Amino acid sequence: MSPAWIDSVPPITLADLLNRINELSAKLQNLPERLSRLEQLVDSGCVRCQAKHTPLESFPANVKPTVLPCDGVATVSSEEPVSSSPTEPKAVKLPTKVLQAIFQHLTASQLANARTVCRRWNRIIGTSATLMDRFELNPPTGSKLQADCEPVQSLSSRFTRAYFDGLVIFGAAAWWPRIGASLHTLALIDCHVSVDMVLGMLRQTPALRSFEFQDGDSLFFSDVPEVDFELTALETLDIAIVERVELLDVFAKICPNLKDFIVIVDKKLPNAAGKIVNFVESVQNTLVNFQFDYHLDVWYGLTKLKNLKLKRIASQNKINDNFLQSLVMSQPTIEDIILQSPISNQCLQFVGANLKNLTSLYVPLQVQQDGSAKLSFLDTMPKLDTLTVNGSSDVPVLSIEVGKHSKLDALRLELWQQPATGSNWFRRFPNLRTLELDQCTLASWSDLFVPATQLKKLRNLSLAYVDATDSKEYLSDYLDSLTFMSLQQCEMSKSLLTELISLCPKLEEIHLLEMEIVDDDILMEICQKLTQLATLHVTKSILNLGYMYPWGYHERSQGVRRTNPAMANICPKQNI
Amino acid sequence: MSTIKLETSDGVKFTVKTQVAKCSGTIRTMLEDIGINPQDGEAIPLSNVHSTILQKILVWAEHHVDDPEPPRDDADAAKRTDDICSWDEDFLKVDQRTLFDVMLAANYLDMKQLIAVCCKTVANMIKGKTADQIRKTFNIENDFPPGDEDKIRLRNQFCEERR
Repeated sequence: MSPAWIDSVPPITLADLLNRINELSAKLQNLPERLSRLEQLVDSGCVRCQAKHTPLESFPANVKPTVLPCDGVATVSSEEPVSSSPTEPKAVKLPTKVLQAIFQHLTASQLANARTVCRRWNRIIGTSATLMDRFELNPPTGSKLQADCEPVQSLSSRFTRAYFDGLVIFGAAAWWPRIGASLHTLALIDCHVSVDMVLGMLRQTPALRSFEFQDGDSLFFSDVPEVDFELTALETLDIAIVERVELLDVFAKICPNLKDFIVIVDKKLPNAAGKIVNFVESVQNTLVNFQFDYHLDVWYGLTKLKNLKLKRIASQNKINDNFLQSLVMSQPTIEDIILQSPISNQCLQFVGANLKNLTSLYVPLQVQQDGSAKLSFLDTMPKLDTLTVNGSSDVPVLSIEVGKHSKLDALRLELWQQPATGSNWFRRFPNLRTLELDQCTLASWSDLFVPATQLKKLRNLSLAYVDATDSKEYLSDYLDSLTFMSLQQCEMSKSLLTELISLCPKLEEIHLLEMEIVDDDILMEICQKLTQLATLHVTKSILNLGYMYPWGYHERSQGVRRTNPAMANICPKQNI
Repeated sequence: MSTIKLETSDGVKFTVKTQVAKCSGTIRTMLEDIGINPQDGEAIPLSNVHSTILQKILVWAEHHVDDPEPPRDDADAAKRTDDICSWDEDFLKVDQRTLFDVMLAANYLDMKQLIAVCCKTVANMIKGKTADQIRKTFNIENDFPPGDEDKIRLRNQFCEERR
């Protein structure tokens, strides 16, 4: 017998072994037989003994007891005996483990229904963290949660998420501790609740990872309250303040490990920027993601924080080039920027030169006097893999004068004219896998689809509100790496769409949204040509809510092609 | 082709290809980790499995013996149940008692793929039914004290699908 496997079995004490044998003897009918087997195993060296904490006389002192998973013994000792206990009804009783596995296949509403079947099902679902994670505790808006509030008071479920929107909360001490203990996500939106109550509730949520809070006009307090606890697990704080900016001072004391801070403070509140910066200062050692709104002074304040090392920043602010440059200088660790005001090409080159780790950028481009904008700043950002550039409602011309960029993975263009002009520009992005055009005007469809065939890795293509000024629309070659395509309100001819479908044989998912030209012929073409298709989503008009056709895989090995019955509805006469 | 012997609760002995028997995690553990020697002719006792059920399970294991390892599901969303292959669908067209016995045995034998396909089948029997219909289908007694069921329905109003 090779001893190699023995080391992989965790050692347990002899007392554990005896306890286990006692447990098993209660459960197993044919125990003597099994025990004799176990003895044989001990004799043959399968079970090796070695003293750990409590050496027993009958074993040599240098032998550690180790129970091996042998002969089904280990499997039978699952959480519940397999055989039904005498108090249960005669029906076959499935073990808890098996019922949980069955319930994994049910949606939240099906689970809610299943809970009313019997007490056991109710308990199994209500105490499973994975199943309860599909729910959130979400009382109807306007509910009054008070000390004696049935049904909250009698909730036995282990909720992991709670979403309180527009509730009246008082007397929570009676029922909250039981709920708060298991929560990892909590939202308090516009609730009628005192600050003391909010803090009292937070004190009872030791596992909280994410807290979303919006004060209403009903949040009342006079002095900033003292707090004597910390939420050490809290990583995300998403806070919107309408009334009481002092709340930031309170939260600054309780989240020592904050990573994400998303904040909106009403413009009219005095000293909002100062409070935001003070808050960021208090969490600067751990913060990596910071999203804020319109307070310009925050930009300036951030540059003063020595220990802040942001990876992601997002702002609604109208900022000028100088602000962005000073931030970039003070935060060289930034990897991801989302901006909402136009930035010049020159400034973006400065950004690229100073942020060595920049991988994702979302930015409106400043349009030059000739009505165009350039992408040439990309040359300074060799690590960038995701880029979104916005034009403006005038739909300026986007000029793609840029060298080869082999890192770019996803490119999204919004509100541009002729972004593909001077074709072959795709060649500069040889590793592009996702291309999205939104509200763009092309010179012609060929200008997009012909060069796109050079993108050998392109998997996802999304076009929304795209049209072409020229009717030239020949296609040249297969887009044979494409697996996802979404077209929304694109003005193209039926023949072009038909040809496009036939040139994308690997498509697994198609969305055709509000495309006037889609008819039965097109759907037929899709059904016939696309053997890999798993999802087809079609909406005819804006009024239509749309419907999904997910269907199963094709069982080629057995010569049977299994398809969803919905398929037959689309192509009733086809033998598929 | 090596074989091993299995003995069911009613004393019936089966001679099974080792490869097929190893569809059972329990048996695999015995052979690989404990080092039980299949050559010594002694049958492995499966005291929780009746011969009629083991026979059925062996048919399934024989059919699926070459299946690749399934990809890992994420437990986050409800798992799909519309992907039972037609062979399994036919295989599980049995009375409920047999289906449950197969599940219990598959659980005991630690056959994850068989458990999964049984679970999907049972989940499909639950979907679209009222609580009453579910009880009738599975012969479950409504053991809620009077009024408690209403309380649960009331509580369900507080409990929504997460956004």
